Amino acid sequence: MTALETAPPRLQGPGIEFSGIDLNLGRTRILDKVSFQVRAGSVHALVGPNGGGKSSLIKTLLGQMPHQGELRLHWPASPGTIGYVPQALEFDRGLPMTVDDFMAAMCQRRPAFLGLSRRHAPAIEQALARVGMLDKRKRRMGALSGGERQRVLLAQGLVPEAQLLVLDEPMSALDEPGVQVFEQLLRDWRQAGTTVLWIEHDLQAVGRLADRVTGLNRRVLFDDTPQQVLTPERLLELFSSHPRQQEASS
Amino acid sequence: MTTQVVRPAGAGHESLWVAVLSLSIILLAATVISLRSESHEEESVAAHQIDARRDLNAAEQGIHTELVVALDEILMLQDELQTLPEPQQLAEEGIPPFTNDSSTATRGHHVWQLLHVGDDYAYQGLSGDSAVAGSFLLLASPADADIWLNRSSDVVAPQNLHADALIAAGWRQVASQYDAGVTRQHRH
Repeated sequence: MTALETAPPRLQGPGIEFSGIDLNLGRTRILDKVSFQVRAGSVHALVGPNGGGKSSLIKTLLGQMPHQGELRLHWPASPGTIGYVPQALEFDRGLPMTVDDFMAAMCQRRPAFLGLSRRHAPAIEQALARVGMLDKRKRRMGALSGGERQRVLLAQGLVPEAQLLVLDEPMSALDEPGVQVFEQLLRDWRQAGTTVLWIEHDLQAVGRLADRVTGLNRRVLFDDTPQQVLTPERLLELFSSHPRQQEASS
Repeated sequence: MTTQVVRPAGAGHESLWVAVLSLSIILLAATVISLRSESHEEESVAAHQIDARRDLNAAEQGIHTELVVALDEILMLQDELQTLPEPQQLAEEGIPPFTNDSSTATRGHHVWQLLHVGDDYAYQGLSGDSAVAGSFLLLASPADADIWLNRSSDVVAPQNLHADALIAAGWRQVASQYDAGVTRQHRH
């Protein structure tokens, strides 16, 4: 959710290489020898059923999981910024936190109660403008609709500008204008050469917007272009079978 | 091109750091202790000596301590009388171990007398029961109390009060050691 490291802007994003990633939490096997690559500067979608390990894979990528196996980021130059947009934000609806407060808390080192820092204010303003939330920046976070809150989450992923964006179901709560905003953002990122790893349930959106798609249900079931893999048979295989049965049959 | 490896999260690194920290604390403590430690060597008494703390029995320790204290009184009386007081006078003054009381009885009925050998004087206490306590000899010198012990049952008055002669006659010097084993004892 935060910028891990900062680097000179306008750099091409990194390639990501997952090779043989295993993840066990307790006695539950979450990921089983997950191997695939995300090409630098591509929009890579991750699809699969609930509980298939998509969010866990992303947390592994962010270094928050005790995984086994090799996970490498191939940066074109020195390691840059990773932006993360979470699936949802849990907080008390009555919390007196405005959109500005939230952006300040996420994007700057200065304590949020001292207001926006002068250094980050233009970037934050621009990010809010890009997601169309500039006129609602003084609203309480709890008073926003789900789609609006999702847009604010997207905005915090834009500051500081990241070379790798990790999005965990950003479209799930987006309303129609929000979807358009997101598609515009995806186009911008593609143009700028930003690598985007994107978890999505909306397969139509994936087919329209992603360069490549990986089906994940504990293991990698397919990894190809959307045109190749988003076929009814593949999707039935991905979504209908239980991981355990699948393992027994294979 | 820079390759960044994402390391797994978990308590592994943390445990390693805690272990390294613990180990460094132990090493530091061990170093400080070894640098500041002093070797304690057991001091042994000479062959002709007997250790006042370890080798005397209870009755002998009592008499030895009383003799050490009595020497001060004896020297004071000597100043007054211009001669060494007889054991009888000391008993009249109530100075142990020359008095004849119940502790004298339990400590072996020593019979005290002032010996005059050549130019030297000594108080000799012959034990009535050498199984309870040996015979004592207090050399009347103004320096530290010089006390000798003889545990044989047939002690005769020494003909010479020099150390070599006493050793030859079977006497052993009572030596007080002041080392780390002593915690509350003061040198008199």
